[in-house]
Amino acid sequence: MAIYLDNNVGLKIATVDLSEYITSITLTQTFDEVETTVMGATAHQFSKGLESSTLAVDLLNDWAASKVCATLQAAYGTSVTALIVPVRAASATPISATNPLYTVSILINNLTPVGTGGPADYASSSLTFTCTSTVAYATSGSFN
Amino acid sequence: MPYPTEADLEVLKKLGLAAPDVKPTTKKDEE
Repeated sequence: MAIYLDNNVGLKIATVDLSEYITSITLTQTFDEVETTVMGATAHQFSKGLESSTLAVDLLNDWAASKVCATLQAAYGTSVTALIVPVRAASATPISATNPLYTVSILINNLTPVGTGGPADYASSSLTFTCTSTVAYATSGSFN
Repeated sequence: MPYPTEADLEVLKKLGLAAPDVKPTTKKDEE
């Protein structure tokens, strides 16, 4: 069995490791369903269209140099690479069939630098980025 | 998929960071 506690997901955006600021992350792999129903069909028919995945991530807003806010601001308006790994190690994260590496290009088209939260909360951002490439799945390689 | 991309390097440049030598291997690279 290779189940894992969801408390150590790794995320790099534009090669910058933002893992320690994540409070929630979801990579949703999906593709368009293109209707191909023709005469004579008794049910709708669909075939695979273009991939249309998304990466949703909640982050604590850290304004320190090269951290969350600076990195996202520098990437704002561009498509940069996101690396995601289910279980991240402090260094040399082993990538394997039970801990694969996902690589995808994401369009940084929304930011909430003055984040959500009230007086009793740390400021945070809840962001959903559209993927502008297919999601590459690899059982070897390196994360950090 | 090349990594880091030009856009990634541009972000690093803005942050004043050097490009890392870590590169993920994709299925395509392995073929």
